[in-house]
Amino acid sequence: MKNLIRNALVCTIVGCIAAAALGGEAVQIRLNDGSRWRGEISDYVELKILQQGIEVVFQGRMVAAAAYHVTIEGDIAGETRRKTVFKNDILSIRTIQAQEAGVVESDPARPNRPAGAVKKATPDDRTPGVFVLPLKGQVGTEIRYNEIEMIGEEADKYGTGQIIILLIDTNGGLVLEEELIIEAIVDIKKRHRVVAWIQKAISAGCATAMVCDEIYMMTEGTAGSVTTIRGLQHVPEEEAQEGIDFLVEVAKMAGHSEHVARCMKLKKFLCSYDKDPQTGEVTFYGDLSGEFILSDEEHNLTFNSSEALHCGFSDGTADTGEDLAKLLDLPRWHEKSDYGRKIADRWYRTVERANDEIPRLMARMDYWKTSGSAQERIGALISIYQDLIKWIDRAPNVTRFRLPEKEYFQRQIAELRKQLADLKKAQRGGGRY
Amino acid sequence: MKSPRAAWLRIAFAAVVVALLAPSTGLARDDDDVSTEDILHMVDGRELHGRILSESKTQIVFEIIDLKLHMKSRRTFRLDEIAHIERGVEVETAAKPKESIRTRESSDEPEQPRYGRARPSSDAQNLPGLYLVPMKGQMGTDIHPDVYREMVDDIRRLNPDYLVLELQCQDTEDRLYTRWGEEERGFDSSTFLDSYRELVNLFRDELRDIPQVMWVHDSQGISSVIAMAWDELYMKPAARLGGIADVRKNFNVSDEEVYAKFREAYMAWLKGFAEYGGYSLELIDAMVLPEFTLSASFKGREVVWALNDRGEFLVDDDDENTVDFRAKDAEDLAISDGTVETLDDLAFLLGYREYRVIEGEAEEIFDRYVKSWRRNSDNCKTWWADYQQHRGWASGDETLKWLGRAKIDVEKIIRAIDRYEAVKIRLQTELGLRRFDLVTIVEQLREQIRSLRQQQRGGRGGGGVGRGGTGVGR
Repeated sequence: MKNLIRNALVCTIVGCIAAAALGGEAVQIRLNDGSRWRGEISDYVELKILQQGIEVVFQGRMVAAAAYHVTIEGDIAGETRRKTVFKNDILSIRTIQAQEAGVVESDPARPNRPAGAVKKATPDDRTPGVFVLPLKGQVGTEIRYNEIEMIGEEADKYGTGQIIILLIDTNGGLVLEEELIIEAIVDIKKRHRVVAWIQKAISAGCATAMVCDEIYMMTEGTAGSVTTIRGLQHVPEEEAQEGIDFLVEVAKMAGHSEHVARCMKLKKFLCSYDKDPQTGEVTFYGDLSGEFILSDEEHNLTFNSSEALHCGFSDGTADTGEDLAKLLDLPRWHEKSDYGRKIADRWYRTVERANDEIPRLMARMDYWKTSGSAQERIGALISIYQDLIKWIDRAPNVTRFRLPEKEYFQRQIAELRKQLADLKKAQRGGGRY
Repeated sequence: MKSPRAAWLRIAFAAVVVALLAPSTGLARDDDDVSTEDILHMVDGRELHGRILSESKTQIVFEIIDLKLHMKSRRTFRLDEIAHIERGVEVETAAKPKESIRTRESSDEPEQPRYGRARPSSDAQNLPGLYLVPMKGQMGTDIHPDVYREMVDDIRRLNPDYLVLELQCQDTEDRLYTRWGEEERGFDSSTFLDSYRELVNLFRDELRDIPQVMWVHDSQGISSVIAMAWDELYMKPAARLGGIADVRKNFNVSDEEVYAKFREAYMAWLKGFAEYGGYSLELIDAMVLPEFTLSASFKGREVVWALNDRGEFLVDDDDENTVDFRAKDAEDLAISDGTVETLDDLAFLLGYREYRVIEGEAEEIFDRYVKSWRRNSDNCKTWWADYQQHRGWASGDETLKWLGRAKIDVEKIIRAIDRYEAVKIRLQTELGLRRFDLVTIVEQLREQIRSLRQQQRGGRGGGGVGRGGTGVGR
């Protein structure tokens, strides 16, 4: 399974590189101040560029992007012309509407997309905004890949290049689910900008954050401690190696240091870094030779917001939506849809009910195994087993380590029905049970 | 002419008056030195009144007399804790400073400004208004986001110029300050840290537009970390900030890797609060983990902390103990912004020579909540005892009657738990009662009652009590 996922990830990375080389849709520009712009070819943009030492503002449609330059088509001296701009000369860049660039398009949402695939834009849709998916609770129960896939599909309706914010608040959870979640995020990243906004991203939560395009932390935010454990024992290193390699791959894919990933897994790994005071560029080392030590042999790396920001693990610190909007270069905090919050809440409530009802059903089962008349007992147990089967269908994430397989209960029900039939037969025949 | 009987009555009356007035002078003591006392001026700024019972080269045994509560307690102090001693001070003279403050606050006469500041009546709308937020009692129950969420509307309505959060939480039992026992120790597991984070978010994010100050009356335990979520922090002279070492139980596991994982995650959560207040994260390391040495260097007014002994001032190099701060140390090391005894002093340091205390509902909301959940918690213990007794009586002809009563007892407990998270927490820690167990008991009692009624309708009557009520006591 893991190999399959790794292969999928590798294919994805290769695919992304190939797409970029072939002038594909997604474009990412990292500016000199460390900020990033993400969009796609055919986006309308406003660039502030440095031209012979003078700041010049230029608006137009992005028609091509390469490693070191982008080509913009816009109004130059009264004519529509193309202009090539070196990325190093770009001081700032923001996405704008076609109208702002003085162009009237038939489909204002995304001109190059098939009309049927794009939700008809309302005035509200045109306001730059975000989709928020809260990820709160345990990875594998409250947090599943399903909701992540669903928010991706919801964002698709608004066209590519949407901003999806994963609001992470978790102490971690199942490795198996973590892999599925990462797979889902990697897929969504092909079409949208996926941002992790961390309140608490421990263990599997941190791996989830690391695969995102950008990481922002709340002031009290924490991220790290990704050691794989089984109960209160750590997984032996030879067994854990696969997980370490996986996290390293995830880290590299999102532009994080592999040393950071390793130090979050096992305490024997070391990590330090230097930071260029002029450019802010950070260089990580797998030892303690850097000026700033992140993790020595006694510690498992876990970031607080200030440390994460200093070494570039996070792209900024934001406590409120408005704070985050500024960092995302949005004019204001605007949630385009509450779909993400709704689906997260719906699933969270389901898990809560399951956590409440399943133990109660189990207690009821224990009670009825020794109470009541034979007929009452059989009837009650059949009803309980049926309820448990419903929960297995409805919330498999909650039941998978707590209940036997569905087939077990089905067989039990069949057995009880047989007993009930025999009992009734005996009663009709005047016999005893 | 007055009669001799009237003269005798006057003499008797005078005698009674003298007898009644005598104790009120405060001098009616048995021994010779009743009118004097000894005063210990502690290095942390405290001033303790009482009597020196014995002295040695290293310590003093002192009987502290709390004039307000009329309580005595015996304490032993190391000599290095004491700045100086005043012996044989007249009681009236010694008591005056505290009395004068109280008189001024409660007097109907116009207040005389002290050091140019005053607290006029709360209807003086042109003066800056302070809104006092009580944070007193047990962390996790008394101090819970629920109660503060209720205050937010009132704070918004009154729009104060400053929020003053008054923190008084002592985990460590100290007979001088509290009679609380183990059950009053603050909760510090990761679940509770989430709840404290919610509390801090409420003030520091939702109410971020209102300036806030944390005024620590005393803090021992997890409350000290929460206090550090506020960048503006003042302490009372006798206040402590620390006592966090006990939180280590939350990550105390034998597997080295798992220990490192749990410890770093937990420490990062604690440090998250210090991040809010802008305190050095090294402080949290030294306050929780005894193996850390802590030293400070001074760069102008800034203190640079280091987890080694290379700083200019060595704060702690004891491998056995963690760092705690008394008010004076905290101020000297720029952890607190100042040491203030009264609200007047605090207001003055906040830059208000005159101010008003806004008559909000905070105190009322807080008191109502604390009294109510504690009363409910006590009731629950009674109801649980009732349940056990009624369950025991459920036999013979009265089985149905007492099973019904037992069910009602448990249902009352469930209702109290649903109303107050604090009650749920206390019942779980004190009696090992979980909501799930209680609901199961009710279900089973209901089933037994139904079954008995069915039997009675069928003419069989009576019947024993099936099993039930299991699954509790953890």
